[in-house]
Amino acid sequence: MIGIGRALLAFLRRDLRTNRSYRFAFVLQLAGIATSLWMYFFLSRTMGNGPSPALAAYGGDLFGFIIVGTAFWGLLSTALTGTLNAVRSEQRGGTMEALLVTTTPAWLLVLGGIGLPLLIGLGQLVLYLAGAALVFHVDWGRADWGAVALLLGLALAHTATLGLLVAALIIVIKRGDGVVALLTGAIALLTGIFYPIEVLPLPLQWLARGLPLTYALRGLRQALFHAGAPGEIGSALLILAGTTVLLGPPAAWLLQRALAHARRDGHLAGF
Amino acid sequence: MESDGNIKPDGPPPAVEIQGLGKTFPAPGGLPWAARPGKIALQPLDLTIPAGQALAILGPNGAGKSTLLRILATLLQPTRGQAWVTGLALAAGAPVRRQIGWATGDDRAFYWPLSGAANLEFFAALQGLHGAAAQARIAQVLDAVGLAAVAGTAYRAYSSGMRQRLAIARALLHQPAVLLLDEPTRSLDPEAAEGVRRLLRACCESGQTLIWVTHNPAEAAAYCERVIWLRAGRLVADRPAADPAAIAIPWQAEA
Repeated sequence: MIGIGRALLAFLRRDLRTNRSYRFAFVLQLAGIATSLWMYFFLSRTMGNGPSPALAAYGGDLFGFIIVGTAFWGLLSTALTGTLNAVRSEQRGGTMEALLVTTTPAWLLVLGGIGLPLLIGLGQLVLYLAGAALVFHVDWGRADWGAVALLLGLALAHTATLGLLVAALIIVIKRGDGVVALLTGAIALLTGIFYPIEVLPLPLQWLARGLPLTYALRGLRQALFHAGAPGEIGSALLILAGTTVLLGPPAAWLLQRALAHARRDGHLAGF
Repeated sequence: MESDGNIKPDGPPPAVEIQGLGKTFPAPGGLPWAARPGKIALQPLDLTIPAGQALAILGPNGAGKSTLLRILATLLQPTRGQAWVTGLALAAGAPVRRQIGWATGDDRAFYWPLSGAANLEFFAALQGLHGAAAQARIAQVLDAVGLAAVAGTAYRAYSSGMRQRLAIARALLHQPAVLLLDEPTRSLDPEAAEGVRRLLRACCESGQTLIWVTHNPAEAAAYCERVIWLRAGRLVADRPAADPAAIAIPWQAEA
């Protein structure tokens, strides 16, 4: 366990040192968040930001609903895009093989690579929530921050598991952009990022209810707005924890298989 | 000694033992589950390398030299045969990688914005070296390769020779039994190349086994005990380096 923590820390230190050279990109990211906040504010004003019956289970406020969804989606898409970038930059940069001749297991190398993107995604989420409160006076006064932290922690773990699967696919098919676009698109469509899943046609609702992230987002909104049926946060936590524990080992195994395939074909470096 | 499938059971093991090892790359365009055989990179090869020996591998481009090295580094899966490093089968994974130090001639294999020391610190952590022990070892290998004075300089500012030496430093970090060296003096000026050769010879004299891919027969003769030649994936000569015939191109000598 200590070894795992130290390896993750080594990746984090490496990526922080590397990113120190790209401070301006960070400023642009902040500007992007501010732009999104304003855009969603005007969008919700256009659509009418009064209490909406469709959003009653989420506190009833369209702007708050969209901000939480966007912040959560930002976290997921940053993590998944981060996985894509991490694997591809190791392949293109020529460091992939240098990593794979070390004694660190492949799943830990992938998790290490997405550590900083996950933290950046988390930071973005915090900035969205803080911006919404400070500039647009969204009231988080009733939020259960303990539940929010637990849900986010488990959502991060769940996303890291998805990251292992994405990495496995990238190694096999060599181009991961399509995979990440499909995944982030499916998450936006099905998990209730911009609208409650109840507005979806029934077959899509069933699909949405099969996704742990739907429950994570629902739980997050309920924890932040203190709305919805009691016990739903607990269910969301259980679903996230259970699926992460169940999916983790098969995801690591699939990554191993993908690497074995690349070792057989000789395309570990991605060419 | 207790035996599992990854440990070769009988006697003290040589540094490397290779039995019938071969590699055929699948033809391009095949599906992952229905690969068709394509290019033969390495014909079935048998080779035993005793501990502490410096073995040079010579041969033209495409002879299978780097393929052999990459199989031993666990970066390629052989199509046939087996190999053991210090008695551990390649399939053992991490335990066998602990015995291997891999120095590639590819100067892209580092993080360019980071300093030499920061690069080594990162790779040391992935080899299980942390804290004061890691720092001491990093200082030791940087000193050994003559980069102590530029440890804090960004890798992107290193010359080719410095990059090559840093690759060797990384390979030495975890004190492996076997060093796999893919053209370690490629694109170096004569003085830098000589420094790298002397460093590698010192590693060998301290007990490490060297498997040294090179295109330079004189380098092979001067710094290794044994020279093998590969051609079209086949072993065509295996002689002591002291034998003057060892560095003559075998197929030209035959003609």
